[in-house]
Amino acid sequence: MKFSLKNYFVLFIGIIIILFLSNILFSNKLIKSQTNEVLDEKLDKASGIKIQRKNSQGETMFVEAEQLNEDKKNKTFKLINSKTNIKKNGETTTITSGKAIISDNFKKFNFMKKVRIINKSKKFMLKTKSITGEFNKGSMFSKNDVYLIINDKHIIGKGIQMHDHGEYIKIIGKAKMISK
Amino acid sequence: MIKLQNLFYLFITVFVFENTFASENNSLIVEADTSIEYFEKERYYLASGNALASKNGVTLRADKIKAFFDKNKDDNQIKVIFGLGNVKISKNKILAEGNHVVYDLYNETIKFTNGNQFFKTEDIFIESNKNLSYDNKTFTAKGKGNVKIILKKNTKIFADEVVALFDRNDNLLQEATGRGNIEIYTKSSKSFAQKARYNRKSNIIFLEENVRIFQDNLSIIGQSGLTNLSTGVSKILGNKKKQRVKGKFIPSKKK
Repeated sequence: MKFSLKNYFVLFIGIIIILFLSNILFSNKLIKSQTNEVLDEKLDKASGIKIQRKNSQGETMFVEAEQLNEDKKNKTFKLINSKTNIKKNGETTTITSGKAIISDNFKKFNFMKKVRIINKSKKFMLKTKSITGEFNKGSMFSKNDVYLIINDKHIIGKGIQMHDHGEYIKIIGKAKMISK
Repeated sequence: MIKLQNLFYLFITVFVFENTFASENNSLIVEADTSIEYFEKERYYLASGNALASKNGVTLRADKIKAFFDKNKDDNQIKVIFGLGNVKISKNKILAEGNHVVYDLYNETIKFTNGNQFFKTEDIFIESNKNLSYDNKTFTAKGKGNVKIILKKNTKIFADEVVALFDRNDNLLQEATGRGNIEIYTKSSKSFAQKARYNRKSNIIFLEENVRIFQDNLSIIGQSGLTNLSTGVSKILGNKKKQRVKGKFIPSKKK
């Protein structure tokens, strides 16, 4: 079978169209779907245990979990499939994870397994494997791969340091940011 | 002979190809080896360690890159990028290097300051020690402060200020004007003036104000002159005021 210029052209255009469609589908939609997924997540897995705390700084913490184990000696709570809502100055930060350890009278945390932190007001979302930190200081630290969205900026990196409730964030290691 | 049908195919191919990759090109991508930091109050990102920023085909590399948001707090678009330390900017066949650069994404301007910097295309090299800028909308480069230009055939030009206009398609130098302490060195002549104009079509540099040409043991002085870059020959031109042209033969030194 002999290919004419027309055949080559059609084939070439076909490849270009596939590239074009894949470019749209896998860049824009992936980012959009991830954004929507995390920002509009219903987070309805956690149920059974509910804890509400209010600290001196005016923060209200509402914790839901499928399971809770309290270690009274070490003053720690171990949570399974938890959802933590922290309300401060009209903003809500939601943290979900497969496992969580909350210690030091609800000051320190260690979230593990599919951790997601979402603050819709700040258009903020963080995905990672595990993260430690302190609620009062609004600080967090992780040495695991992170995927972060701040407004329309999508950032990936090898770890994260966060202070002052997100006023300063450092993505550690080889990092990439895409701004649409 | 190219058939009309083939031309049509070519046109469609180019059109589709350009549109395919347009969306990726429009995004601002920032990468770094060490870290990317976000300063919410100060409204900027800082990328450190072999930092790279790319948008619209322009790639900026530096030790550190600062990406600033718009001053309007409701607008979270990055408007200005600072490149700090060992800065390299490239687009197609254009390359620029320096120590400190401000890249305005909105106005598409690039401005180098602090220390030595250069800008080069296929046919021109511009170096300055004060500031050097490039406007991507008008395809114009401007240099200030001991500007040095090297053209083909090793023609060297020095000036206090230079404005160079490039072709938007092939990035080749179209026109250039220089001001202040102009010095032009070709293989066979050297010329001095206060103003100079270059045109690609003629490949001639026109010289104005206090023109002095030194060529083949002859020095000539006048108010205007030219240097033909194709032939390397320079000459003094007569002017409307009918001012006299002065010439002086300089005997060659005996060995």
